[in-house]
Amino acid sequence: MKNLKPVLIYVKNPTVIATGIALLLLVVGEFRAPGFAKFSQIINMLTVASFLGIVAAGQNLVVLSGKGVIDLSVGKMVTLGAILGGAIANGMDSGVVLAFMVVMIVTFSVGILNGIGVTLIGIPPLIMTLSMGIVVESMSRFVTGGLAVKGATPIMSTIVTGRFLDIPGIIYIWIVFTVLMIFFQNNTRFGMSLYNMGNNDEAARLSGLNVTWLRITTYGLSSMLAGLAGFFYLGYLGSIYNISLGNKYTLASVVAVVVGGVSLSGGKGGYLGVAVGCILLQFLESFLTVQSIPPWGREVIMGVTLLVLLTAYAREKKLRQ
Amino acid sequence: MIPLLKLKGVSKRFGGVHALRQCNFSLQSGEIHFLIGANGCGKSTLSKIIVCALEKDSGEILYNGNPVNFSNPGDARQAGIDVVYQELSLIPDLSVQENMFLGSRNQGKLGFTDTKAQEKICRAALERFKGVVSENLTPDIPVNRLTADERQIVEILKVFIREPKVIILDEASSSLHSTQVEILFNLVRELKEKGHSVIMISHKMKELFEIGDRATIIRNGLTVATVELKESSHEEIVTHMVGEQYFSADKINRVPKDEIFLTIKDLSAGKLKDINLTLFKGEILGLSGLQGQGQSELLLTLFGGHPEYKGDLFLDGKKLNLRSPAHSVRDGFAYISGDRKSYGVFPVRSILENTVLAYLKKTGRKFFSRKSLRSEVLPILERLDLIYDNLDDSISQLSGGNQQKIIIGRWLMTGPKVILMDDPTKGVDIKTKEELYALMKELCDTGVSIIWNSSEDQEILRNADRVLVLNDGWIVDELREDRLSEYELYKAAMA
Ligand SMILES: Nc1ncnc2c1ncn2[C@@H]1O[C@H](COP(=O)(O)OP(=O)(O)OP(=O)(O)O)[C@@H](O)[C@H]1O
Ligand SMILES: [Mg+2]
Repeated sequence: MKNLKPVLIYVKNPTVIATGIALLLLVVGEFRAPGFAKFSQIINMLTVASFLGIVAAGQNLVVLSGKGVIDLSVGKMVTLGAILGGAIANGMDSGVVLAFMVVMIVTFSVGILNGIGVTLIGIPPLIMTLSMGIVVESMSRFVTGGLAVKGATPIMSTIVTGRFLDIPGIIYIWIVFTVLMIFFQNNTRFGMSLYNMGNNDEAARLSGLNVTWLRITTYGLSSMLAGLAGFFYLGYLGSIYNISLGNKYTLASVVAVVVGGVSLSGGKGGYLGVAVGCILLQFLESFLTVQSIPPWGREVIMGVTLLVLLTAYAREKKLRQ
Repeated sequence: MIPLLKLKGVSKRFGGVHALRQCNFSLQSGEIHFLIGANGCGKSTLSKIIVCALEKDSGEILYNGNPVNFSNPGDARQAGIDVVYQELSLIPDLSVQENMFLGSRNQGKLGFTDTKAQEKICRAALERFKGVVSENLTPDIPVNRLTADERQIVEILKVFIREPKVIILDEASSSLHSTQVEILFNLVRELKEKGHSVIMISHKMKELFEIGDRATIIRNGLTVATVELKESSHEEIVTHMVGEQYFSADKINRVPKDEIFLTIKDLSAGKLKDINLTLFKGEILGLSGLQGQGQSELLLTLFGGHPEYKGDLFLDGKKLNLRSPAHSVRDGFAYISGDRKSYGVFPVRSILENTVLAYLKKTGRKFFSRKSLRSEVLPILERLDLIYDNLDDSISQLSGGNQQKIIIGRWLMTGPKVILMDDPTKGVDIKTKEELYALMKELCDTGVSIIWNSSEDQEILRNADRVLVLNDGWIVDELREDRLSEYELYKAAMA
């Protein structure tokens, strides 16, 4: 019994649970539809998951920085990143660097506005970011209306989909990104501050942190990462097919964050769990697709999975007390 | 006479920590029984085990002579045993009344809540504390609008209105002002007269001898002695507590340097009016008077909590701008509050993270390796004699007093010039208190200055070089040397 305890704690860790379920899905998927867990198939699923991975990183930072703090504008920001990138590069490789810079700066600035609204003006995060999403969508409309938006330039496609050792570039990018995120959360003052202020805002302020500034910057980062994901997503898709292309990422990023063990009441949860959460979601979606389950059925199953996981995590918290 | 409650050989472990080993304890009807011991000796654990908020590993509990096996605190409450926990348990968004009746069976017909009847009980209960709490404290105010002491009072009343046979008060008086403590003691005495029993946990010796009948002393998870308080002494109890002969230190008259360090001219902010003071290098300056006369506000203002203040301040000849805590930290201030739950701890974060944040900010370090941080905090935690298992454990696993040590450690790491302390020894045991006093003096000898607000008059009179008495936001008197006495203090405070 005594020796079992550390093992139990380990098994109750959200990252471990999520990893376990993801592996289980692979096994069951392979069993039901041979070829599901083939190397090339797994790589395909990871490729699709990587965009969510980058968006969810921003959501991760925002959510852990405080109780009820959330960013529901990320989906629209993904679209903006893709459209703006395409419009400025205008199909020419020579314009890619400029396009990248503009996307980063614009999305970061819009995120800063989110942060200012939430902190200095005191608008609830839910309302602020949802409204900002509407504004961002109009910006995307304006860009597509005003300029004829070309698709990805050759180099953009190469960076994202070009393969080295049979693995597309975006996966390498995601791996490096994951390492950087984990370093950021564990080994920088900024990262540590987010956890502390998410846990006790007033105590963080009285330890000399500028909580307002930190929160504003975090919203900026979240938007910027969504914009970055959009920029890569354009490279993956090759062309922009419609204005709602990023919408699904809003909810998906929140789900991934929660599945990865980030507490919605702030102060807890790292990126490794979130990355696994993104992979799990993608595996689940692909699994349901190969099972030929219709879209509405997929959503029901996704919802139920989420509930089950949340219940498991809530139990874990209770056991520890 | 069979005891009302009896514990035999109760043990409890948390991982590698033996919180309790073979504890024995017995409580008579109509008795006020204190549990005494150093921080982390297991007092809170023992009280939680009695009501099954924690499960015991082994041992037996008898209630009215019969073995009991509660499976949760609700069962214990049914049986008439109830606790006021050390960590407050109110729900911030609910009103005082809703909190008081949360989980209680005191309901109206058909299981619906009879809010009218509840309000009557609630008002009657609050009436007891009339005059020593603000007018704010009414049944319908949400708890998050109350001050720390008012919250504690609600927590106490919540349990008292049920009139349990056994009531456990875990450091319930530590955040109350002396006038409020008096009323609490009256409530306790009334229960005792009705034949009920009270178990009290406190680090204040004065309270122990004022109201207690017996005391059980716990050391390192062992119940080492139970004494009749009428026949015991302060020295005997502390000797049991620390396991060696103990004498409290005498007051040493220190001579601070004659070098002005901090000057405050005509400071007004919030409640404060025209504060003028000078602080010398290496001095301990006490703030006193009745509680809530602006002492806490003065400390907070100095720490950047009131950016709209008026007045001029100079530290070491340099003019200060108290815009935010971040600025004050940079200028060399540190702020230690006794209300660690609101202003101090990051409950789900590790001991390590709780210790280093201000230090990283002060030194401007943006990146770090956890390993090097560890080696940097170890000497400080050692100096504070912190008892812990692992630096990565969450701070919530520590006892109250040890959490407070971490907060102190957090600021010592920043190498402060002026330490602002608002009742920093709240919930800290007697021995650690003495160590902290010694530590403060040691710091002062190295040139640090301290401004210290305390709700314990004895503490401030014995340790401060000078005491400023505040009343309604004004400094009304300055006590030094011969005038550092309780008599002079009360005279000035009441004037
Ligand atoms: N949930 C927990 N997990 C791990 N260790 C714990 C837990 N609760 C208490 N402990 C440990 O058990 C010991 C006893 O703690 P307890 O809270 O009973 O002390 P205490 O006597 O009430 O101290 P204080 O006067 O500081 O409140 C401490 O060493 C503490 O770190
Ligand atoms: Mg305790």
